[in-house]
Amino acid sequence: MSAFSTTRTRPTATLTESITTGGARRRTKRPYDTDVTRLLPRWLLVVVIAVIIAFIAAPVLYILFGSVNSDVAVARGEYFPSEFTLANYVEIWNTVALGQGLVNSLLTAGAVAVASAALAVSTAYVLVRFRFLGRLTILRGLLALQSIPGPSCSCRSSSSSPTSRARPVCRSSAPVGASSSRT
Amino acid sequence: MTQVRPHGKTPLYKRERPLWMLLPGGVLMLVVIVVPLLVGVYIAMLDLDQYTLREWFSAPFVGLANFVEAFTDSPLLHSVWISVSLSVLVTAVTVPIGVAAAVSTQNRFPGRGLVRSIYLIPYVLPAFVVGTFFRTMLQPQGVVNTVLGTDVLWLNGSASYWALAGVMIWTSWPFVYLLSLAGLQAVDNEVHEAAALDGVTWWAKLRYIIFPYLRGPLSLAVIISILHNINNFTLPFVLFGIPLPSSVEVMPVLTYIASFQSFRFGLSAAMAICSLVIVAIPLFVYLRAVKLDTGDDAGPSRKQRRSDRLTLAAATPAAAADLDGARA
Repeated sequence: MSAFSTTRTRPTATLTESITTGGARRRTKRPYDTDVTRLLPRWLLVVVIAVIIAFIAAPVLYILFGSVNSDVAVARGEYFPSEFTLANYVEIWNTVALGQGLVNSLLTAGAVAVASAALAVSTAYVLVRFRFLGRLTILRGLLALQSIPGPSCSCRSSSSSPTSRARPVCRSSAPVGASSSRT
Repeated sequence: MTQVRPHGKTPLYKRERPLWMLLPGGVLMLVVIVVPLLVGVYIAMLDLDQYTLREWFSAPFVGLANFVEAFTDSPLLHSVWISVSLSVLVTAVTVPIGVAAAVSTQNRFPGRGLVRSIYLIPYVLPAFVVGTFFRTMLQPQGVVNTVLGTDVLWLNGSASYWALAGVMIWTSWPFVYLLSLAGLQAVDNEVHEAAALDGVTWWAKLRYIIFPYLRGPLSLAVIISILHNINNFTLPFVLFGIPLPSSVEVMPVLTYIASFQSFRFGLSAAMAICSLVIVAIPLFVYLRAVKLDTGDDAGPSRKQRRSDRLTLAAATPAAAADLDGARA
């Protein structure tokens, strides 16, 4: 029973009840994770999660449905497939160099991840643990880098930029420049 | 941040600081960011086009003419307006979604891990993929028009602005979600217990106790989200293709067109610098205002927490009455 489903609760009883009457398995392991920490009433929780998942799933399921549908039906604007075919999954291996692309992506991404982790960790360690002249300037500069516009840096915010030839160089600027940018 | 007063030879906090560890990152930034930026500033003052590109050092120096042209004779200001309004709109919509998503997965429940992974799907899909399948969905005969029963041209004309805004919202809200989730982790259990003892309703608890903890992470989320949306090149490029409908002529794509379609490299560099300045000035005002740049602002300050406690007491008269009644 939720502690906040009613507007008025007997405060002390709520706390003890929720600690002592917890029947779920997890609660014995983590005694602090009780109804006290509950943020939303259950009905609202269900509504919020359902709405957000529907918001995400509508386009994502469309990709899935479209992938097993025929081209003509997709072009006609069908959401649910009218026929079921796996031909598309066979074709992708023949029509484009998918395997080579995957290998390239893995190699690039792995190398960039290792290099940027090393650079970012060492830079962050110094910036956070020590005080020195110019520290604030560096911190501000790192944030300011996010504001550099233009296609020359668009590969920072997206992995598959059309300017793919410049990608490795630009991506390697990500560790320090865009610590929280999307990959 | 306590300042240690230096006495003796070298103060403790200055001893053995491994400042050399900044070097690799610093050199990299110098090579891939500072040097190209300076070259860009120089190019902006050249009349560089496809005829002079081969020996670009000897291209005619025109001073500020490119900047004048960018402001007076190009759609730069129009595209600045489009970019900024789009990005502010998208950020304003994504913040409530992200906070709601973070709050909804804060408490444990069976399947929470699955829900959290689903929340991250729009974030981990590459922008190129998102652009491609939304382009399919938004075709005149596409699934969006079929489901809505409308006949809107989403990829042309004025509706394209709203199409781009919608796609940007869909793909960028999990970033706010991630930062809000980090902020929620900072709420101490004692705070929850105090709130429960006072019998706070769920909304008052969220509004007066939980949300103040999100102020720091959310200010950061807002600024980074705005900057990323302004600089988003891939999504409009893939969604609409070149040339863009004029109602979604965003800054990065405009710069790209000036460079690689019209081959006016000097003009394009001037545009890029103008938009950099236009974005950077509000950024620094904002950074000063929220004091984010020092990195010392994690969670509410001590003073803030005390005032929160006071507003909490004021916000729950019902709880106070309950306590009084119990005492009597």
